[in-house]
Amino acid sequence: MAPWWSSYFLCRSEEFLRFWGERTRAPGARILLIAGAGFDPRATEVCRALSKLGAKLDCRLVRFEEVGESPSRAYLDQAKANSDAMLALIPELQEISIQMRSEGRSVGGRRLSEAFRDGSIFSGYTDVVVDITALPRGLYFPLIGTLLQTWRPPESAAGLPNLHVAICENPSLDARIAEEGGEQVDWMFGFSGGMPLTSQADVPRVWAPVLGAGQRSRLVKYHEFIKPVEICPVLPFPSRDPRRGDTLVLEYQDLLFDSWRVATRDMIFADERNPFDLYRQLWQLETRYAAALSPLGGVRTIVSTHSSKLLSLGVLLAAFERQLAVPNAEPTGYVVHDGLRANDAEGELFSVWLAGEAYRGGAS
Amino acid sequence: MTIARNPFKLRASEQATNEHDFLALFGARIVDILPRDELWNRLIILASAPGAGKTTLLRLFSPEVLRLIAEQRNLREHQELARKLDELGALSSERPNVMGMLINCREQYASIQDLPFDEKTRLRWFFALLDARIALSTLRSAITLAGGVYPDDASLVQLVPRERIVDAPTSGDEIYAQARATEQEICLALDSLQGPRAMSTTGKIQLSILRVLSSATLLVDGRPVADRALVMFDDAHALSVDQRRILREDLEDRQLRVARWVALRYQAFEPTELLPTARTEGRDYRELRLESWASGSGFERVVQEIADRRSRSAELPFDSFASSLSGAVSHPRDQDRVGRLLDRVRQRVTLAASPSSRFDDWISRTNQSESGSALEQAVRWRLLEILIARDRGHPQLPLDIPLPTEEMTRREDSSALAAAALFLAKEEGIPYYYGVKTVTLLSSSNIEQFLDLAGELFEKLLAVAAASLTKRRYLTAVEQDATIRTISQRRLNSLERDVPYGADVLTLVNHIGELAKTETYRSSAPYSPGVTGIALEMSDLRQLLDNENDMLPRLRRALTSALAHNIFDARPDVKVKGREWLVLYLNRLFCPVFDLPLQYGGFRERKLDQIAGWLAEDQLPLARLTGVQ
Repeated sequence: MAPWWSSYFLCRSEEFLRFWGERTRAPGARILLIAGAGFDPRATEVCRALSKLGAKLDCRLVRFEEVGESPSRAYLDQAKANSDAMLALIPELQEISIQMRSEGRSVGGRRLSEAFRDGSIFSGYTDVVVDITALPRGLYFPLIGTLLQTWRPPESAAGLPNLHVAICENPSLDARIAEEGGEQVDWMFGFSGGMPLTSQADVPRVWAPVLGAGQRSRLVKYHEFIKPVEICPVLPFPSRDPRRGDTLVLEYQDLLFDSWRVATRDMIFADERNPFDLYRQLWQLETRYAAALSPLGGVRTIVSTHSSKLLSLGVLLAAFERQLAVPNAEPTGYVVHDGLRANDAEGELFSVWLAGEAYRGGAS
Repeated sequence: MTIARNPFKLRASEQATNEHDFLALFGARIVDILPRDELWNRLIILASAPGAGKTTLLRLFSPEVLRLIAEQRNLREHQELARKLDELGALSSERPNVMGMLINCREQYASIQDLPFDEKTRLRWFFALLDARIALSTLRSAITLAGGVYPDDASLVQLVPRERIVDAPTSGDEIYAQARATEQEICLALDSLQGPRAMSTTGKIQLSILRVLSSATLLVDGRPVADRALVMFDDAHALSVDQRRILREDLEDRQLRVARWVALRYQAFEPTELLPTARTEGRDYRELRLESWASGSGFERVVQEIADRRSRSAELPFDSFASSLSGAVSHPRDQDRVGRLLDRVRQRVTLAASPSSRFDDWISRTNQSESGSALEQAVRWRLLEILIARDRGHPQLPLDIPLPTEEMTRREDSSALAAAALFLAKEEGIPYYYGVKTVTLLSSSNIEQFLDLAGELFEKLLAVAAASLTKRRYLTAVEQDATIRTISQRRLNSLERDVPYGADVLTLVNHIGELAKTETYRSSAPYSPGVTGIALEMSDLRQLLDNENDMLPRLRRALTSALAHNIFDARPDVKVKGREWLVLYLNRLFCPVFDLPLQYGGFRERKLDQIAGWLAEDQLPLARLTGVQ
């Protein structure tokens, strides 16, 4: 069986503008944008680009209600400015309020999934674009998972529009945004992969964490939670900074080699700017382990993302298709080191086509 | 036993995947925390901050581990543990007496509360899922103790009712099939992106399986497998508040003939319960706080045993961890430095005392005292400097008549001497944090903290052993001190990320640390050997921690989080000046960042609004300002 996204469509920068320019000019084109109303300075970039191209655009703006003490509340003014900017671009924009926590537990993903279960929301549109730039991981995994359930990729169910994911990437800003809190690890809503079942307790676990900088305590917590027998860390290569993989190995060398006893042959290298490369590698990893260990009762592959949103999309697609488990420790908020700067909104736009006409009859 | 390069980096409960490795890393003395009375008939609550060893302790009672101990009880390394388990009644001479079922409360229970059902239905789902998992765990445990294969041998299990059981399957096959189906149905519903379907759960809001086990004998292949059943709920803090409350009420039922232990972190406690004096008399459960037990001498013995076991099991083994950490400033280079500094301090103190003749006798006595090492002599000179400062700080300066040496003896005490050693270390860059006792103190009664520290030191030890031409197998005091200070700073820097409301917790730690440093290093060392905490009046604190009272919510959240995560060592009900105080000592691991001593005792009183003011200052935490990464 071939991976669903063995062929794929991904565009960036100028290609992004060219691609969406063509789509918005197509007769009857009408786009539904689902975006986050966060403080991230890049939050409006996708909306702004699509508007500039003259798209007929509707928007569901997800306003996630952080608890009173979240450090993200320090950036409420920026979040409000982003919402206002979106409203100026799309006056008919609809806001959806999502409660992030209840008794300290992450409930936002479940709530957002509930808000988008009804397929009728999407009727009348040619394209649905989920802009994950300003959405936390605990929201966009369940959201895209719910949409993929409805779409049934890769061909997609009849009568549904095309499904895309868009991101505005800015690695230097990402490096300055730190997650705070997130003490309790749990399975991501919709991505437990059946792991909580008692029958899974004895099945060996292979863990593929996509490594990113400054994630030590989170990685330790995930490891404690997963209790893997084998670890296949994912390093970004090729990457913008060719030494990024080496830097990550240096940062985590004691953890990887002393505590976890990772074998260097088990390391996976994935293109930092192509989520489908990671998707395919995880797909192959799971297939290989499952085949090799099936005579011994099988294996469970667990994937976690500690790096960019673009790469996390690769994790999401592999996890959705292969029912891999994804752990998550939802942060209580974010802190931007050195504060927000004027040029933080700058970034590279990416568009990833997940389901729809490009995949009917085989994508190119 | 798997051989590791640095075995301190392994965690017994989490990473030792087989029972042989687990036992090789397990320190038997931690079992002493369990009381011999009431262990099997009353609800036991094991509470601690993360990393104190709860899960490790519970895993000891799993069937695989108990069976291995019973089989290998005559091996020298397991004899002490087997004896302790015998005394508790968990082991007999031939086999385990306990059938332990370990239930991890992290696994999805809390998310039942998020389903769009009424409260009663949610509780029914909760108890149905718990019942199913306890049933599966019972089968597994029974079959394992009998030497069978789970679940293949489920058909060998039989429940023989001593009393009439209503609607409960009694054959192992039936129990397995029913429990598995229930678990699968609930778990799939909980994780469904399409939403859960209403389930026909008509179960009770109580643990039915414990009632069944209490009124039946469990046989495997016609034979009983253990004298008693024990169900252990680990990580119960992960349950929702209502689930935890109702489960606890249910487990308090003294009619149950199944032993019940619940392990949870302090974060599950109400803020007012976080204080160690929360009374337990009259409750239907017994609460054991691991840190309270560990603050006695038991902890030192436990961690040293753990350290030695790990040192011996390394790729490059060391017989004793303690002997690898030099307990003295012994490196020849250090000795030269100390000799030079003795001269310096002597000159400085002599100069400071002149031209008055008031301290002439004290100086000549210190001069004549040549016993001990150069460092000890330098400390005595530094002590004299403190005594002079104290004397000069006296409001009515007496006449310029030499004070007798007897007066010096009267004013000297061990805490002033300790302050002198601390001052000297800071002023002259002499190592202060070294030796195994220091590492134990720095662990603040937390095993994981000890392992983290010891792991870093062991790493350094391996590097030294590999690089040194003489294959040196110990760390000098300088090397230990530098390593410990780095770990301390790193831990402080990670607070913001690791602890809920981390930025505010960091602000509290920084302010308390800076305050303690200022008070400690006053020239007369008035709080010798030093200040390492603050005190709040108990009445203020109770008001602050009361959830109903919305006074200073930000401070309450930060303080609650810090208490739950062992950032402060809280000593309530300390009586000073006729009033009761809560003393919040810094976790000892933060002391090196602020050059503070590790002894307890010194604190400064502060009002709540002063502390709240620290948070309100809204400045960047000091760790960031100093630019230390």
